[in-house]
Amino acid sequence: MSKNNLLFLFSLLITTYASAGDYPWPAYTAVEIPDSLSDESAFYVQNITTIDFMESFETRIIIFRRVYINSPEAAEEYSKDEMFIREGGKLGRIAARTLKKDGTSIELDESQIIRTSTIQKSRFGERSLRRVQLIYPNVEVGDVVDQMYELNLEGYIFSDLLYLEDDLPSLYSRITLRNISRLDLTAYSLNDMPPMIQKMDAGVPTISWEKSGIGKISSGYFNALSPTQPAIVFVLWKRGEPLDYNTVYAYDAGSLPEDYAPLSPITQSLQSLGVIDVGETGMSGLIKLIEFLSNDCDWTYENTDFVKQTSKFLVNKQVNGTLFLRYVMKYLKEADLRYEKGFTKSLLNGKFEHGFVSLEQLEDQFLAITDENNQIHFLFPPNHENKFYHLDEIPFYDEGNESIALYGQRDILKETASIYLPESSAFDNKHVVNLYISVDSLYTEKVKRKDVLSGHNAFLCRTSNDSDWLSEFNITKDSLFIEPTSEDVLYPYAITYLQDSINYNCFSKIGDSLLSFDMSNILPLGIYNEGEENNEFGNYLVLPYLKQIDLSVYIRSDIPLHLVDSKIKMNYESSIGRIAMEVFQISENNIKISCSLEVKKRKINGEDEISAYQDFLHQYADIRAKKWIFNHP
Amino acid sequence: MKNLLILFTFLLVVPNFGFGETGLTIFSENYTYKLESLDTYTSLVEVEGINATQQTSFIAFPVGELAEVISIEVYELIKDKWKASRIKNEVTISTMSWSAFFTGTKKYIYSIPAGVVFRFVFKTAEKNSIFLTEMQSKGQFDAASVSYHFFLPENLELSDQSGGNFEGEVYYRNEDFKEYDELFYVIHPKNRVAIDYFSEWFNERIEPQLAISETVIPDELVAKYKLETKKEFAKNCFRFVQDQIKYIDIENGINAVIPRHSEKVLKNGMGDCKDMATLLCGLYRYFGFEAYPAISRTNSKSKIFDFPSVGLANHMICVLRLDEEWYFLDPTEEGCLFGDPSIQILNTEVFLVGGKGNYFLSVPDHPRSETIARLEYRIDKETDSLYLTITSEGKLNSNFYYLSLKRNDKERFLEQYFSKISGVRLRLKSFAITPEKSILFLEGKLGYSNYAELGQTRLYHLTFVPKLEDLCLILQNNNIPLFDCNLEIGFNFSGKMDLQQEFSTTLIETKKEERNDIFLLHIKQNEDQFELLKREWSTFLEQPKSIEYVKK
Repeated sequence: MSKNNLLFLFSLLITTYASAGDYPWPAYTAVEIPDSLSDESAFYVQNITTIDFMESFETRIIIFRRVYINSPEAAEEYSKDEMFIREGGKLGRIAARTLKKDGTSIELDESQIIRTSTIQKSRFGERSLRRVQLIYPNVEVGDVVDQMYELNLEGYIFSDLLYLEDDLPSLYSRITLRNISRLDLTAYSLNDMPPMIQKMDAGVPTISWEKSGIGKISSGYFNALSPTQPAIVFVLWKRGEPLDYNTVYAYDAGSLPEDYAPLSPITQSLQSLGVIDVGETGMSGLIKLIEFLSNDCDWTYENTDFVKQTSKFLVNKQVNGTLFLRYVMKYLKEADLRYEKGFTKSLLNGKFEHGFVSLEQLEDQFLAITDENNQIHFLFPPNHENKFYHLDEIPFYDEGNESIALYGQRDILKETASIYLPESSAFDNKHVVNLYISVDSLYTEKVKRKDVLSGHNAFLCRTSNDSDWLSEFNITKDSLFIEPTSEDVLYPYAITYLQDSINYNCFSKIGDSLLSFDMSNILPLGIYNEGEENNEFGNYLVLPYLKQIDLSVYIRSDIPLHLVDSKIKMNYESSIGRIAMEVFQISENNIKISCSLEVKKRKINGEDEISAYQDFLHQYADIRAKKWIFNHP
Repeated sequence: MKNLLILFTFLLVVPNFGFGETGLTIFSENYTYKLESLDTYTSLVEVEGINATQQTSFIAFPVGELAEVISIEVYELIKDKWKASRIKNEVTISTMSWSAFFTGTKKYIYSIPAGVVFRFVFKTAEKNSIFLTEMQSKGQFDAASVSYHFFLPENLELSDQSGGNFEGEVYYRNEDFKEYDELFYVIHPKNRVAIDYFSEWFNERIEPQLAISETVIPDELVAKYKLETKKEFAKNCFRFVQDQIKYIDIENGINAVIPRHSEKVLKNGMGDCKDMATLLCGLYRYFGFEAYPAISRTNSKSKIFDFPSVGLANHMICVLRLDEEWYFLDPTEEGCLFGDPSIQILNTEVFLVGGKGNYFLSVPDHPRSETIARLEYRIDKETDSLYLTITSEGKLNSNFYYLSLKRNDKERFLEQYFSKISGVRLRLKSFAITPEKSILFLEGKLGYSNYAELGQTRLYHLTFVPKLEDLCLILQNNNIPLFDCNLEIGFNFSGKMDLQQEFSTTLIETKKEERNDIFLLHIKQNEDQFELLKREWSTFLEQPKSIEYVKK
């Protein structure tokens, strides 16, 4: 939905401040720390959010947080709290205080609320970013810190997903939505969200949810929102005009029409640009169009909102996510290939829920195209420069989620369908390595290596801007000896790399007659490439994708080599995956080492599975570091 | 709340511009200072250069917090004429940065298109000439031509670090810097010794902040004063400030320079380095000790602090004279033992404010307390168990002590840290942490990669022994050694072994203690020595160790 104009329509504002001064703080009664929170650094005694949709096309967000300081670390952190407010946020009242253990309170004065700013000036205008620092005096373990502020956004937040869970656990949390606007507010409770409380508060329709005893949400590279996470979805929309998929389709057609220039066929333009042959149409032409857009066009940062200018961008060989979809849809219409506009959300942001229409669920857009043989293909637009997807390549953060597909003509929706986006298996995302090592009598190694990477591995190799990702596989992209030798046209679009005459220094002499063979220079450093080492594991992980590594090392030695290690086989298997390594003495001069890894489970839920995943990572690191010992005369 | 939170916590994304310029060629920098008095002056900075690159580059002008910008003019050379430039509007003004003592600055960052020849003229009005501190031979922007021009009124003179003493109109150009890349100076009343004026300026402002009335002196200190020896009591005062006052690095306005009043610091329970040092001094003086607030530099500033200029300093501590000895006390370092200089001031210099002629003192390069850490590994072959005992004392213990003070989850943290650096999942079985000494017991299982079995012999790969830099990180809170210390690493494989015979270097001593092979590593702060030690030690670790076991 990022390509759509519907989501957030708040614009930019100059920020001003006012201090609450005599803010009427809610009464505080000393709390007993539950055993379950005794190890927590800090927790919310109360965490209350109120969102007001104002009559004046503004959204007002009021935050009240009462934090119990349960460790010196938290005391230090909360002694100097700071927040950043982008222009577009107008900070209204702000107040903060420390409640001491002895019952006294210290209210922050103006000198303890420090505001600084960054101002960016250009010939187009001025933008600012402001920092507000709250300096709480004398915060100690056992104190409670109160913080209240009010943020006014120009424009409405039309839809969002809200959780009672936050960055700290909470004894009591509440979310309230108050609708003073002239729009209709609709809210949906998901999973085990506490009951919605609806009432008229001084004539204002008010909805709230509250709960005592709430855990925290961890976020990070793998940490995702569990499908069972209680949540609220709200939608603010025109009174008398329900937000349904008819409306979504109509609005979307404004930016992404099925034919941006009815009198100027794209097929002809593509022929004159030499992209497709005369008379060529259908899926083969589509594949050529995608290749052309991916490889021969420049990424544009220009404003492409004006649909009528789309032809100009095509002639200039320019593309971005929006233009990509416009070009493709026009081609499909002219080729008479049926397609549906699909919408989904990243699996990291939770499960796509059918049964209601919410803009926050429509963050990622794709096309579901039916070919001449009635087969459905998925096509995702590029989300960034150099991040183009082939046909049927699904971004790994979307695969496996559900979606909604909309079919219509012009801006009229005719059919809707639920589509479950396919999920690749470990077999699809393979990395097969064959390594041939020749060792001479002086222990000099000569290594040839062939890597075949398929599925998401291939996408990442193809779209990586730097060589870091490849270096994880010990593949040097810039090496003279390496270049992709073939790229299969069918999914999973494997990429093959060949490297010749490399030296990993795998062998080292460890005594008069002993050699050790080290695999760590050959195997990837981690199972996935980023985010694991310093990641704080939450309670629900979604791994990027399932994967499989099969590595075979063939050693041909000029001198006899005898494996002396009594353990020749290592195996580890759990619910998460399996790792195996084995060494074979084929002959005096020939050794084979095989290593395989498979990640079998992508969604990892609960403490036991998280722990199993950590064990899996550890086992891989251990097996990777194994040194085989050989004797030679 | 996660999604919504993004809306109002808005992570700050500020361009990561450093000070100075990138990719620009600067022809000249001229600095002109006109002083009306010691308290009022104006500065004019003129910079000319070209962006000779193919892309937009940036130039950043720092403006001190106490300065008032009078005017900024930007010109572009167009057809051999200087014309007012639109560059003036392409500016980002950063948030105030208090990254160091006395340096509350904003940066005015201008983007300069490729090919443009430019000229900036910055005019500011400022107070307190004590903050006019240094001249740089290449200016701030590495210019080809640099000049500094001072106009002094009749009653003032300028003393510089090279011994120069000037009055009236003073002019420095590139060649006047001689061997100095930075030349520090101080402006002071005529016929006064610069260093005395510097001390007096600070003393006048700090002295009133030191006074603490009887009514607010903490009762616990009053009670201890009657019962303890002077040294023991001095130690308790230090602990009191270290533990009860929270270090907060907020330095706004003149408080970037002058400490807050001791009583206010006591009441708020927080302060920056100056506030904490002043409170400690105030307490000592109240109880009759000889103590001085001392302007200091940390190791992050490389220039020797031997000239009275705030440009050479970035910190403040309390210096105590006790039993004919100087104690350099920095209460901002949590876990620092009384008498040990904090890590950041080891081997630096301090300036005693009000020091009665004895202004500059050298801070020792080594802690007073005994500093040693010992790691003992024991392997049980039958169960493949790995046992690790860690003992740390003195300043090598301060990080463990800090963790024990700060974290509720210290067991988990220590377990995860040692597991990570050992490559073996270790469990923390028990531990005891005191300010002076800590002992930790960890236990884990050897993995496939840790050994190979060759009949009755095992070849151990000592990959479970952490790298020296990882050990420094947990013992010294920095991955390079911060002071000289000893590290003992012992091995007991419960089998027939003799590791020392294999290894002996100039930097590593070996010895045998019953069943243990002990390696004594003298870790030197000297970078070259540490690099050599790391190489020697990793050479030892890389070679698998053959241990023979007797058949049962």
